[in-house]
Amino acid sequence: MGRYTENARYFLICQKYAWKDWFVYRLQGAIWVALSLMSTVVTYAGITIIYNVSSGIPGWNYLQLLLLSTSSNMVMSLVWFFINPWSIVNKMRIGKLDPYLIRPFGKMTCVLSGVPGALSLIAGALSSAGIVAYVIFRLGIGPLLSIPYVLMLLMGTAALTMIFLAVTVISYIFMRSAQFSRSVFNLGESAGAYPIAIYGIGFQVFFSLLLPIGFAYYYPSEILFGKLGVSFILVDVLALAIAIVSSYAIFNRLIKEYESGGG
Amino acid sequence: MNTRAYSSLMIIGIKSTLVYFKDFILSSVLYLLSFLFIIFIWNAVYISEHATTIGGFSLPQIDAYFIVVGIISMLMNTSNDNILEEDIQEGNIAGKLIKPINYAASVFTESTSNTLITAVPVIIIALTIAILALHITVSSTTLLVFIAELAMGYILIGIIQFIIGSFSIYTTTIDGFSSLVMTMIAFLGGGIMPLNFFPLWARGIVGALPFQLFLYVPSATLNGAISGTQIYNYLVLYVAWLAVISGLGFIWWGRVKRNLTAVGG
Amino acid sequence: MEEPIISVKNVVKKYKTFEHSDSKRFPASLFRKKIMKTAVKGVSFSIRRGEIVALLGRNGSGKSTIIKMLTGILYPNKGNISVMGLNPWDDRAKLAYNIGVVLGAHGQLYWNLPAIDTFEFIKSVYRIDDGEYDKRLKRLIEMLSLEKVYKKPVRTMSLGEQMKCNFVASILHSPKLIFLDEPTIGVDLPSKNALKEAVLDTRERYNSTFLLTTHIVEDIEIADRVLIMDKGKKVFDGSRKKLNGMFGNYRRVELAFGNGKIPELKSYGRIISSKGGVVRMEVSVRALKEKRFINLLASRNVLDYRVSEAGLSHVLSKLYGKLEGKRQVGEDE
Repeated sequence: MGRYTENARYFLICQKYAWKDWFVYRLQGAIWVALSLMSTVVTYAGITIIYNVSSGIPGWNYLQLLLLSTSSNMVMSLVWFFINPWSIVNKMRIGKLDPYLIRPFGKMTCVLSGVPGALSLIAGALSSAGIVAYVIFRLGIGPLLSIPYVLMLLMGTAALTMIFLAVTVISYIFMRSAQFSRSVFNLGESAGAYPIAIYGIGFQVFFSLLLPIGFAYYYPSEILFGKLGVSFILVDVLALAIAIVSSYAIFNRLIKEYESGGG
Repeated sequence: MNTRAYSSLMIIGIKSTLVYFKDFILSSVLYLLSFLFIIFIWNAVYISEHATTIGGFSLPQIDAYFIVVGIISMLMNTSNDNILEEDIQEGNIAGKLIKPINYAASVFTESTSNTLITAVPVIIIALTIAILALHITVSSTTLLVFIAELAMGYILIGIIQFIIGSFSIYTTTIDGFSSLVMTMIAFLGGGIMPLNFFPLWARGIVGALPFQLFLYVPSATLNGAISGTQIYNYLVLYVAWLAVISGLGFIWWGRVKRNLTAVGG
Repeated sequence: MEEPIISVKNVVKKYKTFEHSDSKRFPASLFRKKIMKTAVKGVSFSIRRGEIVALLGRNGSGKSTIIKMLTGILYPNKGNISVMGLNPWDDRAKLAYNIGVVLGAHGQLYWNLPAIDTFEFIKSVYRIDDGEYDKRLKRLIEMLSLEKVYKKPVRTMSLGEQMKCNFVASILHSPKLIFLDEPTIGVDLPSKNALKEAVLDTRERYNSTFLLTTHIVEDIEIADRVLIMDKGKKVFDGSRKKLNGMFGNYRRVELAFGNGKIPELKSYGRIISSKGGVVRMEVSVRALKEKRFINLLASRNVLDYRVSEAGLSHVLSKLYGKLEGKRQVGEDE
């Protein structure tokens, strides 16, 4: 437990200085944070327009789909907040990851802490969380279901962050570019805003077992609306735990291939 | 104009792009896949609606619309912003500004060489397959107008991304800003849904912005959703926005250059 | 006998890179071929506690790769490395509490913030006691003349100032072992001297061990021992004195002749240059002590003279030349 709290402590210290560094240009920092709210606005507007012109996705009413889309936006904004694949790969290519790897913490912690993601997207994540809370309140869903729901979303965020970090390192090793990693992110983002069941069984399996956005927010949403039984919570948590452990192991194996730069 | 310099830059850009060619192919596949999902979504909407048209689009038309939008949106990523951001953050811009070639033109050349070797071949192949598979009838005039719209849209988005990149001198990173502006462009440009689906009050706002020129107008031209005088009006709009954005960009870039400070050392 | 603080045995490190195509024809000329390069080829050495060791070598000799393997940043393909009794890769986090590393000028400094913010960051990360932190920081700031600098944003500092601040950030937590990777590249002379003094002072106070890599010969004057690498292999391991005498004991002699009359000098040693009545030569210590040379110096013809050490750069040039010669006849691959 001591190791995890130490890693968390280091992450928070790095966040403090990352925000300080970022807000050096104060006005622009504030503008970026405000602009990141756009992701929530676009999500909200998109769902609202679809339900204005049609009856929407079969089996999902307006509020349900709004919750799913904004949950997806919240989780993916948080993932982007933690990881910037371009920055990580660029630093790996020219050896600028070295100063972060000499800190007395786990390698994954060092990379996530030392190379922050798009800090402004925290605003997008928080505004999406606001809409999620609003929908839960409107639908009258009690704490017995909503608390596990939020915990599954947070666990989903952790799992996706670690998976995308592993994918970013794969992208560096095989292609020396972040483009592949970013494309995988975008795939998750574009598919995850809607019920993955509509993409057919093949994609549903892919988005459950390989890129588990299903377990991160789709199945939790189905549990919340009674489309899946409450006992599925255990399955969801177990699946996310497996995703976390395996992506951690994959990352630690892959980081051995880091070649730094110069020398 | 030193054409030899620009052609050398083009070759360097091509070589640099080929270093990541494998990556590009994989990423293109994934990128186009993401537009397939939009088709799945709208198919589900149409099935639940039991309607033949929504917002004036039939199901085959909406499929054709999104397939074309997905393909041509590959042109929207000019990388001008990333090139400029890297030059400013790494301090390379000082050395590049003193060279006897126009810096903005050199950035465009570098990113266009990337686009030519990556996006353009994929767009040509994918569009040809789409036109044949979806039985879209295209006259030679329509095709010429479509290509002209794509070219002008590409230049316009390139200037906008160059302006975004120049904000690097006022901030530590443009990543969040860049992707959010592109999200706005995709949404207000018809990338998420045809602009006809927007409520009337919103259509007025969207019509006053240049974003529709990147995706909606070319896709609607190819699909025959707009024709005749409408196309002519849009072409005039392209030229007008090019003049306005270029002018603003030129003034803004002059200001940015004056505020540039070299990286310490 | 005390265990060495660093022990490296037969370490090998390879990496993949790409080479431009030899073809001038299009499109073949646009592509490149993948090759495997060996940056470190079976290197072994050890370092004792309290030593200052300089790892010298030309660009691309593998010096920085060695440092990065010792700090756990890179994973060796073969061989064993032990740093303070720990495996740098497996026990990296544990080892990191006791080592300091300087990698490049502004390496770990927050670019847009004053250096003091990075120092306070280090204090938080390594849990340095307030009193101890204030005392150490004050001493280092004074020693490196950073009083007017450390509260400025790093991006506005000169390279020398950045390097000094980077050095402070690396030793604030009193590590027992400090790695300095090319610490004087692009740094002005006063800053170089200040850094060297800081290294010696730290070693004296805390018995810290230093391993510094450089390709600049003057940097090794503070080193107890010199390791030289060339093309991934260790080619020398010994003291500066031993290095200096590697090709015989020589001195540089500069003679200024009046009236432009320069006598025959080849019998005394090797003539390096002769211009405007000034002759520079290389003379062995034995020849310097000979009566005829003393007589030459005392002669009316010689207006002035200067005798200095041959210089390690000269020794290194000879060493690299010898190694190149061996490679050309295929002895060294």
